Amino acid sequence: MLQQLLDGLMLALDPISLIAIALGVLVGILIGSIPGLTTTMGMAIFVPFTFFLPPLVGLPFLMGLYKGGIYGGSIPAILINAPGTGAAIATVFDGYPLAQQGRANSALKVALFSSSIGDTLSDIITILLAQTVVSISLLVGKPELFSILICSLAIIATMTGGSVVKGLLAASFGLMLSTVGTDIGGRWRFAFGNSYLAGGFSLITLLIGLFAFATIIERILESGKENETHQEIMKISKDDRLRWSEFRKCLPHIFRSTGIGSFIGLIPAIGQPVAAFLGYSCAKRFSKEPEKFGKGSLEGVAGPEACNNAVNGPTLLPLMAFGIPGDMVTAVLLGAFIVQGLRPGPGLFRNYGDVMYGVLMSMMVANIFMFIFGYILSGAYAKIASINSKYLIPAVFALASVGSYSVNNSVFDVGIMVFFGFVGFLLNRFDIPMAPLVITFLLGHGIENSLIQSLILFRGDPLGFLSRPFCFLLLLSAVLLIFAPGLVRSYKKNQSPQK
Amino acid sequence: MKQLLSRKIIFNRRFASVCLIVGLIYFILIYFQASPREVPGARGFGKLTGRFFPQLGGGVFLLCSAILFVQSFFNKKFIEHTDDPDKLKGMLDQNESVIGVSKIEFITNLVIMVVGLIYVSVLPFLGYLPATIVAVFALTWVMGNRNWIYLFILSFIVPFVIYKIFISLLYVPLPRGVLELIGF
Repeated sequence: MLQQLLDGLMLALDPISLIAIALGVLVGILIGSIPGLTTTMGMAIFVPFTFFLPPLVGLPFLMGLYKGGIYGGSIPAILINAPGTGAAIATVFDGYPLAQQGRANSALKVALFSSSIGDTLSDIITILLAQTVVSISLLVGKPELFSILICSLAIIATMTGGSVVKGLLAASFGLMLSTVGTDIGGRWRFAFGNSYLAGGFSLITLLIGLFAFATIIERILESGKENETHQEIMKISKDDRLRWSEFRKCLPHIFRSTGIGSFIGLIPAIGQPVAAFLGYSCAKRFSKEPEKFGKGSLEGVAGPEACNNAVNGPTLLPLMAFGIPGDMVTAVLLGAFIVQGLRPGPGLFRNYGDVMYGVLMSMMVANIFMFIFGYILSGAYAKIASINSKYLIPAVFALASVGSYSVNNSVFDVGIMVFFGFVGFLLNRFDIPMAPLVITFLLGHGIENSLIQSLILFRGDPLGFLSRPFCFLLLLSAVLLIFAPGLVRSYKKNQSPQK
Repeated sequence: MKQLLSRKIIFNRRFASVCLIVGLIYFILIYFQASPREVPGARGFGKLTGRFFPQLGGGVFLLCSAILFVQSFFNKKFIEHTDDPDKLKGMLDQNESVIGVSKIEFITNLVIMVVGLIYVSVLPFLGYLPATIVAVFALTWVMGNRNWIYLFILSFIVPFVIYKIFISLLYVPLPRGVLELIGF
């Protein structure tokens, strides 16, 4: 294995591969940092270019783009409250308040350091696990996957909002939205005879609407008020420097989130957004200052950023081993692999070990470029932050409309984006947490597929889940997560009059 | 505080009512828009049709809406009989500064929605660049910016740069509309 690793490293350090990786990272950061331009879209655009390149030039370029894009998504999340990618949704919660407090530079630095550390450590894990992951992945069947998804949803629904009922309401609304499109049998559902709706709502359109267009509406309403807040979106202080003492506090969260992210990455269909939320929830839970979360905490940026980047490496393992894409980006990667003649499966490492280890080592090299470019370019990003919201919001609108259009090259998506802008505005006003909605929308199809396939496996009997210990434990945890807060509250209520 | 909470509860009740209506409409639509046929491989298990999952999601949504609706009456009672400021503050949830939507905000929202729909409607015919120039100009003006230099930069330069990046660098075929007629 050591020899294969060294061979892979030599292939990744080839000058042309290095240029491809550097270019990929740069393009990825730029694409990720522009709201509406997603890593998925960027990769989909550039995949055809790789068809004409050797595997160790084309694939490292895509790897660089992937990593740069996931990191780049944190930049608009921090600076303009619009996550560049789905993976950066959780970064908005504290990154944006930090930018509002004039600490955008520190937030960007923490995001860069966390992303680089999380990504590098998870890549090491990926390389070490590459050969043995087949046996681990084989243990995760459809019922287990369904249980994992439900447990993740329960965590998100109960942890992200003040009220469990509101969290569940948002989650179920997300499930309802995910049912638009086609059902598991391939038949149109809630499409109203419209071919655009038959493809379902695009996640990116939904995100741009819920986060960017809702912000535009809020700013328009604010501008009509007498006490208009100037430069509320971004306020940069020249004295803003990230102190070592501050970063040291983030380190435990980075390492913890790297572990969580790496684990999540191993499980297909969960992906960066869920990992980012779990990283955020865990950072909040283990922080000595949880009350700062949501108001501008550097730990609240470090947790999700390390976690979402830590997914990048391990998410390729189920892809390489079984051809199961962990998310949309890896689905695009899957296409690139097949075009290059690298058909995923247990034989991939056996037949193309040198190429695959070359690709894996190129991920490590991409992290170095990501750190360098992120550090050098952070000054340029910070300059954007000093722009008054008055000037930025119209530009955000122009980007949001073009971004939603470019998802499917359809004006219909621009209309959907406007619609979700209003939904997002209303949800904000009624304290309905957005995260459960987005995540359940994202996982809706996966949940439906795994649930129905599990029920088929159990011959229609839902009690079949209880016969599997792993499923039973996870589903029990989900039930406890939902009902425990209410039970504890009523117990305390009953106890207090007795005192 | 009590006044503020009462207002919040009324808004929450209205919101829960809207959710109940949305949930009921969704449930009715299931019978028109989702296939009653069993999914492949599920023959004989009866319930595993294209309607199964929407019924599950819609059911949870309706249940949560109903709980919120009923909860609002209990909360109202609780507020009337409680004077403890800590307990009252605890009911404000996370976002105590923003409660519901005022009438003016609602009307402004409707106007924005209509403008948004007009923008979407004219986009294929007018093209991305002209439609966005007009929309960005209007938006910049509405947001109180009357500086003509900024108005020009934001309305013309920004959409143009974005347009060129997408068309020339990213090869995204944005709608050209009238620009196609003049060969731009």
